[in-house]
Amino acid sequence: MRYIAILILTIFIIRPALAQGPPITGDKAIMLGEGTIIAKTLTRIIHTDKGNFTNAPFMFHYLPKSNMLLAIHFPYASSPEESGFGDMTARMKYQIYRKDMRGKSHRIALKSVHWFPTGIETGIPDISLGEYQTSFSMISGYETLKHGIGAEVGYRYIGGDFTDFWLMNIGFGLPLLKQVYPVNQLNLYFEYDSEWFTNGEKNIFFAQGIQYAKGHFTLDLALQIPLARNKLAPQRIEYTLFLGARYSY
Amino acid sequence: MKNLLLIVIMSILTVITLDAQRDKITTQVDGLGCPYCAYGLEKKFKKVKGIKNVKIEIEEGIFTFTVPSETELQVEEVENRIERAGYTPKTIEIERADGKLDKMELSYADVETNKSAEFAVYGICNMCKSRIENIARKTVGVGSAKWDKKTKILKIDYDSEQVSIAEVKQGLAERGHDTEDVKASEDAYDNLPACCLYDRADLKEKAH
Repeated sequence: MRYIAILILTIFIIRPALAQGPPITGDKAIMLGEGTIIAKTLTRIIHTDKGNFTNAPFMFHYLPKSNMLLAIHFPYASSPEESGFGDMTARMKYQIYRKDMRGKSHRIALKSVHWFPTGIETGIPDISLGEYQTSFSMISGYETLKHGIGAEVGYRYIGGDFTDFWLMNIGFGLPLLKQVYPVNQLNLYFEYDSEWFTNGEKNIFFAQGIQYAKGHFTLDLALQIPLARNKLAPQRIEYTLFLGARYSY
Repeated sequence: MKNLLLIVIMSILTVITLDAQRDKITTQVDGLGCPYCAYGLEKKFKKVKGIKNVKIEIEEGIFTFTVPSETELQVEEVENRIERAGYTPKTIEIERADGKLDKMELSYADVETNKSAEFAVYGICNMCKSRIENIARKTVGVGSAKWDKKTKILKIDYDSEQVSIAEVKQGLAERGHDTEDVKASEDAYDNLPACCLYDRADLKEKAH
């Protein structure tokens, strides 16, 4: 209850700016303009055979230039055993390619994320590990008024006894309503996320998401199911639920 | 009753007159792949004084709005704001309340270049940057142009068989921007918007 209250307060009080119609589980190369400040949140609830693991970050993004994004995330994390502050992350995205056409755009960006060992130890990298992690990736996105395609390829180093992995994600967005401005959108997302561990194991997930945006509000909901699981993981992931709410200012 | 009627009529006439004293800006913007992009674009213009009647047709990429005439919004500033929003302006038209039309075409012809050059061009702000780069790019034979606000250096790629550096410098001077060896006339300099009036005295001192 306290968490929900904090979530609502964050959305309404901090006067957040827009997180642009993004893929729900992935990332995109198109960034909003110079000087933009963004506050948002996206809760991830991983349901496993050992119970639920949750990561609920408060995300603050800043664009010093139209092609650069700096961000810091403060997560709340919980596992069946404990809950508390999660691993804080700092991230940077730099757009290296932009090709704009009428009603469409193709962009490529480089992304770097650093997780600091400030949080509880849950054993799941995306929740909180209490270990240093860093990733480098390249994101490419092609977006038109009829559809959007985004992909990310990169490598994630994880400290401690955890295994590093290559990440490969691809997502498709499909608007169900006519694209008009002011914003009134209902979008479907189909996203595949995969982790290819250096020990030969892999996680492959498929997420089906829906996003509703009206005016300054955006609501995200996605259900992610595993298509292949890391057999060496201490817990068996059954599904992951993503819940997001954004307010654009 | 008569007085009240008179006041109402006067008020309506005043509002109509004030509304007529507005400049209408129409731009064609590339890269608007979704309504959120349009939001990012509008956001960048919110600080323009007195902006009203904002309309974005995302399918065509047409962005229109009006500003009070006294704002004296320049095409370079419009271009600069669109760029800083992260999108690509193609055409910008400002229809002034007095009927005058300011227009900027930003579609450049592809040019095969065989030489590069760097030289100082004097300017001071982001509007100067837009203008300097646009003038250079519009010069026949110039393929690319990038001006650095801090160093004042303009870097261009050009086809030496079609254009000379002197011609590029002359084009810049005609629009008010000095280079080391081609100076703008007083009239051209005075026609620059207030924010673009770089300190020429300072340049002379530096030259000595």
